[in-house]
Amino acid sequence: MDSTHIWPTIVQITPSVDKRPSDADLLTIERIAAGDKRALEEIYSRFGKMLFRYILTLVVDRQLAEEVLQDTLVAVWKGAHRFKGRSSVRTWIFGIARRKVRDANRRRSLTTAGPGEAESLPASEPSPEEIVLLNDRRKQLAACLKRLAPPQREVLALVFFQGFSYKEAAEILGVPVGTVRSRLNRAKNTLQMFVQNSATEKKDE
Amino acid sequence: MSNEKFEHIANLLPEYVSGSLELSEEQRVREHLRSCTECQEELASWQEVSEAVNLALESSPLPSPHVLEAAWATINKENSPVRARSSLTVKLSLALQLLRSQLPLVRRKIWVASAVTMAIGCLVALMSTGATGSAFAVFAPIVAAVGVAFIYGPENDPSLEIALSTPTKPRLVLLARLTLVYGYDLTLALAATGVLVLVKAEIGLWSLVSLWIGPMLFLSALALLLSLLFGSTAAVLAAMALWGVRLVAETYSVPSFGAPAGAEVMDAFWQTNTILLPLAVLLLAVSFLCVSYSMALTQGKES
Repeated sequence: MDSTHIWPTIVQITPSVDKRPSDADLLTIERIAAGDKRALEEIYSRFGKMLFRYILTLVVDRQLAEEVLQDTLVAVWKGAHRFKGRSSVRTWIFGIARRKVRDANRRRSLTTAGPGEAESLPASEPSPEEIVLLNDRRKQLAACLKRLAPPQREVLALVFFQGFSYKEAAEILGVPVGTVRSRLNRAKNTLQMFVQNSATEKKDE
Repeated sequence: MSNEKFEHIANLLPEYVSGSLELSEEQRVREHLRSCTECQEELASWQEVSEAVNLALESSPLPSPHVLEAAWATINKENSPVRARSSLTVKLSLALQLLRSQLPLVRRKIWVASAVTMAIGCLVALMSTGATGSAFAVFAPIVAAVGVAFIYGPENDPSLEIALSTPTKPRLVLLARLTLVYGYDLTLALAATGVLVLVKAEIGLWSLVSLWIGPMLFLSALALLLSLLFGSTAAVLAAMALWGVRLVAETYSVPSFGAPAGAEVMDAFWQTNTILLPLAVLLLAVSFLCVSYSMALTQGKES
């Protein structure tokens, strides 16, 4: 079935994570700091799924992504007493996840021969032909996401899928707000160019 | 429309699409969009990208259910020994700090007076002809009782105000000082007993210790409770009176004509450690229950 019609022409995409009062999250982190195990489970059921999807934008290997998610949970458990509430809990946790991705990549590049090249060029990358055959612009763009460089894919995920503001995304990435903006623009342009190119390549054949 | 304004609004479009703009800014963008076709096109392209990102990520896999378990396994493996050790060392160092901090707050006279009295008791026992050293057993309990009577309460505490405003619980403070004074008196008494045993070979170490330890602990515990309830002076007077009565009873307990009724019973009571020690523990427990309450009263009176 063609699913085009399920996308309304103009949609205000609501952030995928519900924005509960951050006080509740803060309280949960305080409980973790006090050693309440159920509080960590609450954090996991609230953020686990979204964190995993974010991690997957940077780490293609699923097993490694799960390791990173574990590391993130362990770090939240250990670091909860250091959380001072300068940023939101959500931003803090995503920032931790990002550092854990970097650690995992470093670990992996030490153990395997090649540097983490594999992650930016996944094996399942669609061919131009496949992209054109998708016959739906959104699906084509979605398929091309895999060809983007991880930093660009990451910023798209943070802003559009996780619903972070520029400021929050900048905190997570540890870069200025201006960098977030320019990376986002570059990501969009590259994505559009990919779709364009696969169409022309197809035509040239 | 100025190019600058277009730049500015265009920069806000991704956040507008994702819904993370503040309300006022969101309104500004919406108003601008009505009249600016360039921005409308830009918006459409962002919406397309946003939908594509959501489409791609929503179909990405979910973490397997064992992730949380694995995290717990790591946490338990990494933390349990380290945590246990560190918390024990932390507790020990806290206890030491507490003891050290309470040391200067106990009246200095107590230390000197206790030592002098114990020494006198030791001397008296040395000079006396008794083979049991029981003369010393007369001194040790009352020294400890008087010392303990002065460890707590507003009349003895120059730092009460600080103590009241610090998070250290009154019970903990009491425990710390009790440990200090009791420990000091116990050491003194043991040292004196040691001297007596060394000098007078006929005295048995444990028989002499058993002579004073029960009365000492009981009388001090009683003095502590009385000092908490009625003040140090009352406690000292009561302890002395009780001990005096005991001494008098002891003199009369030798079966002779005209001994007051109950003298024998009383003497037997003071010589039975199996009764005295549990009673001492009970009195200490009551004291600890009392201390928070009496502190609250003091606080109320002072304010």
